[in-house]
Amino acid sequence: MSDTSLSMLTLHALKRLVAEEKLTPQAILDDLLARIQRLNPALNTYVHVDPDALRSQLADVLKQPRRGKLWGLPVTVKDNLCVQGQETTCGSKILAGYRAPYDATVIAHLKAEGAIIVPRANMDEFAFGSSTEHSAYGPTINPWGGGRDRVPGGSSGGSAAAVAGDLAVAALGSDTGGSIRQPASFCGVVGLKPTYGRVSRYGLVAFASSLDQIGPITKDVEDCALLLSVIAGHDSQDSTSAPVAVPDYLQSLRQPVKGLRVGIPELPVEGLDPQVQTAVEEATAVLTKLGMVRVPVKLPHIDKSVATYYVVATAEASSNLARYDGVKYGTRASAAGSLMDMYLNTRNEGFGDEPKRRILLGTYVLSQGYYDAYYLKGMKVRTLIKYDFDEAFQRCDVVLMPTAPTPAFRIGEKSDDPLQMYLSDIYTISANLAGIPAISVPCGFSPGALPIGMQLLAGPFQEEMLLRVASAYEQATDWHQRSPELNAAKA
Amino acid sequence: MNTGQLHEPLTVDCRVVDFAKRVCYNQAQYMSVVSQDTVKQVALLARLKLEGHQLAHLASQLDSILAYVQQLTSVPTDHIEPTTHVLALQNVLRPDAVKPSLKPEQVAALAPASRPPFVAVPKVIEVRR
Repeated sequence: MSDTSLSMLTLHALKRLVAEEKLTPQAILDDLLARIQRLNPALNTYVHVDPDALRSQLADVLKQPRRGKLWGLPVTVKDNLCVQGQETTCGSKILAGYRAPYDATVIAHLKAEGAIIVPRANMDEFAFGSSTEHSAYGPTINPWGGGRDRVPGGSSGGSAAAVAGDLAVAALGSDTGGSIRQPASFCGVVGLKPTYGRVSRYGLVAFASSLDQIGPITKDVEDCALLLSVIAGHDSQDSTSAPVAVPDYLQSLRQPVKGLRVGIPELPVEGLDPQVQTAVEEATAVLTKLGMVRVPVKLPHIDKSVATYYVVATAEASSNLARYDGVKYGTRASAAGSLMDMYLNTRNEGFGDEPKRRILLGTYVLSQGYYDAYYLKGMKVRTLIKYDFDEAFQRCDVVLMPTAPTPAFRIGEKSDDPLQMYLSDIYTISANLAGIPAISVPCGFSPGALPIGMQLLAGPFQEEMLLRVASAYEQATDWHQRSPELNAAKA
Repeated sequence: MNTGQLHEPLTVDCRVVDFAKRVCYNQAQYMSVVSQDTVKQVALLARLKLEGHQLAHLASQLDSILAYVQQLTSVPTDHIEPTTHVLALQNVLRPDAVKPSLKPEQVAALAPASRPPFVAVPKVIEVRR
């Protein structure tokens, strides 16, 4: 069996072939489903796929009179986005059986453009994690790394691994502290976290409401721009979405970057893999060769971002997860008893260890006597981190830094050391705290043939700038064209 | 004092404890930040039942995470406003108009137990004898 599939192509390539009538949407979906069937048992990128539901969805789309921007093209979605009538479990047992009664706004936007929605990409339970090992439905395996022993990153590890292994053409993930960018980096694909408020969160199962954003995970920057142009925009259903006009993101591609300033921050290098450091330095050289000007910038509080994040994010999470108590949705512990017993047993059986850890931490930092020392302090340091970026963007157009301190680590390597796991988000977390957009693009490989990603950050609502620089870099390099070797025997 | 109280019942003079806490905060010298009993109490407030090995395991992990988080105390934040929202959004208002929404029966059907249009739960009100 030859190792080719239409799902290896990008959305924009497939779109062109469909428009030229060289391909049908049926052929694309058939190829995608065949590849999922062949490779998903080994990689576990999807929690569940329903081929019949997808085929009937396609039949409905083909009847639509209008051909939207994504007409007949499959887009994979993370298991924390509500798709009407489909199970949405957030990688958790506690939501097993929950069928969303409505579409998330991003899903409605994709459907309006004729996309075929492919649920449910695997994820760390409630998006708590950086490895997709903390899923109630088993870990996802990174398609890179010949030994099949590497994590795909997380929490959108299922989405990123599916795009990398061509079990998806393109995908949506969500990013609260790096959950789009870090897996994109580990899997050698492109991942964008938009500005807070750029994309509606309505229908995204909430983790930390002041940090969460939905964004694209794609094979190249053009697909990223295409998906962002579909999902971005103000939504009256999300009062934190911003009434800011959506530009034509595809226009920002292939624009010259000559004269733009790239800010290089001094970073905490403890734990930074020298291979990653070298790859990012070489990427800086590529950007300066394209005419960008390198300027030093300071982010003096970035080394406090992990500590700040684990106070702010867990506080919000403990509050958001209070709703899972066996009353309104999902599962209820079978043991009869008082109302209190029902709460305790349901949450005890339904949540895995990581949600329990975060609920505990969040409840603790919000409790009387500790609120000021932890939560209030965290929110103040958050302000200082935001000021750092405000200052930096006075001096430069984009900031460049690694996405993750290392390439993909081994399965099990950090799963019982939560603090080490949290530190793998050290470079991504600050963008969420400051609310600014950031993109991860492939920028090299380790000697062990594992992908390395670099991260570009820009000021609020400057996604065009990110896409412009990322696209220029991508045109000048060929990292994004490499694919992991996957065949049925090996997988 | 209130149901959110986390401390053990104090058998020593409160002033001594307060002084010790102040010294600890100032010097960021918590060796053990949180006791197992406190974790058990916090768990109960969060409607989690932790016992035995799981309690000990999570308590020690929580302790090391909190010890790491202590580094925030070294950042001067006098006169710094806390960030509650990253965008400079004002109050968000919309017209108070009736729009279609989910039917009560649809919502009740999502519950693990229901008597539509109601959600069913174990008895809450007890009769005092």
